[in-house]
Amino acid sequence: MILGYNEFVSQTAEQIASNLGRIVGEEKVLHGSAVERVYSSDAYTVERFPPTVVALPTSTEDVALIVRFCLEQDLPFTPRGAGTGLSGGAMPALGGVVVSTKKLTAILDFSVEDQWLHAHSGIANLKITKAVEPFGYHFAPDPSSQSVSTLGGNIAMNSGGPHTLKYGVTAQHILGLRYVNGKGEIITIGGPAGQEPGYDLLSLVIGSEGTLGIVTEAWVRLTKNPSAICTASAYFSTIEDASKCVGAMVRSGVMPAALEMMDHFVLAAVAAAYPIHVPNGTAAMLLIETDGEPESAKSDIDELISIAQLHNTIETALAQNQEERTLLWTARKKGVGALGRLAPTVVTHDGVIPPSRLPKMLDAVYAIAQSQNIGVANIFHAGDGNLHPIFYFDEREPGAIDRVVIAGEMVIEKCLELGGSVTGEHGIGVEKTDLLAKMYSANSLAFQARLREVFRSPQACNPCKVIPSGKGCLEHKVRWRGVAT
Amino acid sequence: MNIQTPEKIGDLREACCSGEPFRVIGAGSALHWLPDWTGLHISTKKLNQVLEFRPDDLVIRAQAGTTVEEIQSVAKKSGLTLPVASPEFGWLGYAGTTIGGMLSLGLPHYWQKSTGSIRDWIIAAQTISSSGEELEFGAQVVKSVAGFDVHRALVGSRGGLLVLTEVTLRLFPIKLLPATPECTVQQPCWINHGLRSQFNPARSHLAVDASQQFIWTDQPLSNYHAIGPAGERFPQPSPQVKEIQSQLKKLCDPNGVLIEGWKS
Repeated sequence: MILGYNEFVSQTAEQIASNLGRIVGEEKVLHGSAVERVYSSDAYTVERFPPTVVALPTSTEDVALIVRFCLEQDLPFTPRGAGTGLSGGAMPALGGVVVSTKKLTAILDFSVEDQWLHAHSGIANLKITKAVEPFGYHFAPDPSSQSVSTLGGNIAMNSGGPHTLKYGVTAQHILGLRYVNGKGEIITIGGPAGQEPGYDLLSLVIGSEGTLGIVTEAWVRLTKNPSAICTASAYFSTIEDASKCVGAMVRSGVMPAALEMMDHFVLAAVAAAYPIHVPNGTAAMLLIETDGEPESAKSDIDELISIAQLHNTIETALAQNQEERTLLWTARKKGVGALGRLAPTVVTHDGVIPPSRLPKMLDAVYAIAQSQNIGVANIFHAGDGNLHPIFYFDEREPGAIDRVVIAGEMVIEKCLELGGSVTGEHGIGVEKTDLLAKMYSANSLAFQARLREVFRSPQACNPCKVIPSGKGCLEHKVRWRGVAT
Repeated sequence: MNIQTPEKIGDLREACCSGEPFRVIGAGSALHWLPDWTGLHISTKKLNQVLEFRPDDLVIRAQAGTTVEEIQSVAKKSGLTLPVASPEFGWLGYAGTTIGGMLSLGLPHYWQKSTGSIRDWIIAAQTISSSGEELEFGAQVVKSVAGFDVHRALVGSRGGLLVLTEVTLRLFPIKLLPATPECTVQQPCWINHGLRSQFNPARSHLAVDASQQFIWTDQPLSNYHAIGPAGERFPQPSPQVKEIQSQLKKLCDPNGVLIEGWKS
């Protein structure tokens, strides 16, 4: 029997499931050992805690009923989308009820003319784009997980992706939200025409990692597809040349739609899985994309390619057709997965530095890995300085995990030393709660923690996340920064 | 009108937590858009230093009282800009305006399609609360999801929540801006009551921010001052949203000494 955080709860999981089932329908409630295992973590698998039951609401009203049930029963509750989060945001840190949006996937309404779409929060990111593709539009945020990660998850984490370099992160594409607050009330902020007059609440809910309520519906902004896209690859014989080239591109005045870097470790793994061409002697590759009107997209990519050539490229290549473009992007988006070929365990980190400090930062990342005797590969959003160093190793080797933990800490410390941030897009979750104190004063953190009161969200709503407080959270200490996949 | 213009952060903090109700202003260039207030005004206009400019990272950090013109002149030397209306595009609205004032008002602008709203440009802020607490939000990089985005929420808050003392902004390459404004602006107008139809930010002739009740348009203004044919209006906050907004105000300004910026 797994109990919620309140040790006085005396009901079994069966009883809780049965009581909740009577309220929302028993087909919408799961429990049992398989459920406990599957829903005990998101893609940050280092920290696990089993839920008592899992609820699968099919409407906003269902979510409100579930939250009210949790409050009555003194059970914590944790929202969950597709479970692709990389910082433990959807882990039920104190057990209780996981509120999964897996069945909240409908598109409710949309207007191509007015460029908005209203959908349930459990819809997969890419499904929004697919739905409006025939009209020549898309939903701009494109995290690598977009084929499965949900709109609600993207909103919770304020997700990015390669094209957010030009188009902005999730917050820039949300016109309105409907959510269930920590008291089980349904609140609507904004809508197709944007936010109401008065203080901006959307900016606070977006990126709150599910601590201010459970977002069930959203109105998203649709972005017109560019009439032309140009994608190019540039191969460099040193990491330094590639990273200096990124800085030169950022300050060139041409805004790439995406500017991604993959080092030779990643390229080796990707080349083993996909038929991509990597010239001999390549230390790093830049994936460069421009978009817009055909003429400007072409002249922009030409300018960026010529900047690359000033940085000692081995080769540059412009994708000649959609097939070649798709191959480059597949290599980028599946790159982390391909790294499984290098070692039994990989751990992905997320940190940000100003792009101009990229050469220094990458030097540091490789030196740190060497000092800890572990492998590291880099595949990341170079244009906005959002690093994803990936450590690969064999966790069965004695001491390996400890060395990975130390290396992770060192990477984050270096990001802060170079004027960056502890997370660019994966979020704080449970993984980085202790690191916020390195960025903000105690006053500022105390202020941010009190936003829960403003939104009437008790600690039971996604407990122990972002700025933890309340009983039970102390046990969730950071054991291992990064995510094992 | 009693206006104090502290020259040091310490003096500003002291002025803010005297307990006397006040309105925070920059240069005071937008007072005509705000409700009447004849009491104490505290201006940040003498806190006007550009603190850091990193053109390679497209980032500038400045005190809140720095004028938009000063920011633009520094940025321009490296081919960068804050893509807001400026005299060269035919509107003098930001002449003399401070960066803190511009952010507090958070007006829509006519490069919105290419560069997002003003709210999307702020990446970090230093603030002082009316009880004298120094609070900082955001990070000095264009992308970060560490902590709550309170700095974004301050944009458009019209000075009602916290006093901005320092802001970090993302800049844009001048080259990036389309040759002609995306909204052919005659003038900005403030629409308080009602619309021609539901506001549609997508329509090319508009730059609009429903939350600020502002629209820039090349249509006759009379089109917008009437309630729409089906009685449409700007979306108005529900009682629940109003309650959250008022709780936010209480968190930021527990003694209620900062004068709110909305006309009723």
